[in-house]
Amino acid sequence: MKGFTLTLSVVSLIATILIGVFISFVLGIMYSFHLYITKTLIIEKIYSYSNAQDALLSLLEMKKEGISFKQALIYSMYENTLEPKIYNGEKEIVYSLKDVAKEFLDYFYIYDDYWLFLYNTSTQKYETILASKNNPEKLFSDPKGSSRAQVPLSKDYYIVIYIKTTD
Amino acid sequence: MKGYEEPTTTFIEILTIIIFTIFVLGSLLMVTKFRTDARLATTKRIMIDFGENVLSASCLTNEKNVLNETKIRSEFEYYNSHKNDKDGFSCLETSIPIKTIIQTKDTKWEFGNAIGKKFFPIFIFPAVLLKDDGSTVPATIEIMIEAD
Repeated sequence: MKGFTLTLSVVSLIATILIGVFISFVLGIMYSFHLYITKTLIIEKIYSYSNAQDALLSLLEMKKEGISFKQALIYSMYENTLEPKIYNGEKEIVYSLKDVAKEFLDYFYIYDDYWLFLYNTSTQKYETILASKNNPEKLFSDPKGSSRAQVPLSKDYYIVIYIKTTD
Repeated sequence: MKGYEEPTTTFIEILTIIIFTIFVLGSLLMVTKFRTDARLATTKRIMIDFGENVLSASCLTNEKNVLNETKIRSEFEYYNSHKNDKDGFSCLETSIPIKTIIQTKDTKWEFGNAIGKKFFPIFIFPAVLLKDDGSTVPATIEIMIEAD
C-alpha cells in the first residue's frame, strides 16, 4: 500500500509538471501571437504606413510665400529643376523644394532616416529631393523597418517618401 | 525501510502541491497579463483611428492634414468649458479617455480629460498648421492614454 502511495505521488508529480509545461506552452504561443499581431499588424502595417502617408500629404500642403509644395512640384516638373521660378502674384520667387522639405521633415524625423524623391515610371528614373543621409539607395535597399508612401503628380510622375525609424 | 518510505511519499506530495500551486498562480498571472495586453492592443488601434480622425476633423482642420489655428483656438475654449468631454473636441467622440497634444515649435495645445502622471503609449501624427497670417508650420499631433 505504501509502494502504491509512492507511485501515485510520483505519477501525480509528473502529471502536474506535464500539465504545467503544456499550459505554459499554450500561453507562450498565445502571447507570441498577440505580440506578432500588435507589432506587425498594428504598428508596422497600420501606424508606420499611415504615418508616412500623413507626412507626405502634410508636406504637400506646406507653403512658402503663398505657394504650396504641391504647386511647386508641378512647376518643378515643367521647368525640369528642383528650384523652379514661380510668380506668386507679387513677385517671382525661386522655390527651393529641398529647403521646404527639410524644414518639414527635420521637424518630425530628426532621429530617423528619410528619402524624398520624384519617380518617373516611364523611364524608371528618380531624382532625389532630399535625404537624411548620403547614398539613400543603399540605406533603403533593406526594406526591414522602413515604410513608404507615394502620391501621383501626373501620368508618369510620383513623389515618393521612404522613412526608416530608429527603435 | 519504513522510516525511509513515509517521508519520501509525503515529500513528493508536498512537492506536487507546491508545483501545482505555482503553475496555477503563474497561469492566472499570464492570462491576466495577456488580457491586459490584448486590451491595450485594441486601445492602440483606437488611438491610431482617433489620430487619423483628428487629422481630418472639421472642427480642427481646413482639409485633411491642414490644421487651422483659429479653429484650434476655438476648440480649446470649448475644451476649457467642457472638461468632462473624454477627448475634449466638440466634433469627435471616443470610448476611452484620450489626451491629445497639438504642438508646433512655438505653440502647444492640450485636449482631453485623461489625467495622470504617466501616459502610454504615444502615437505621433505629422500635420501642417495653417496660421492666421496664412503661413504654414509643421505640427505634430500626439495621442496618448493614461497608463494603468
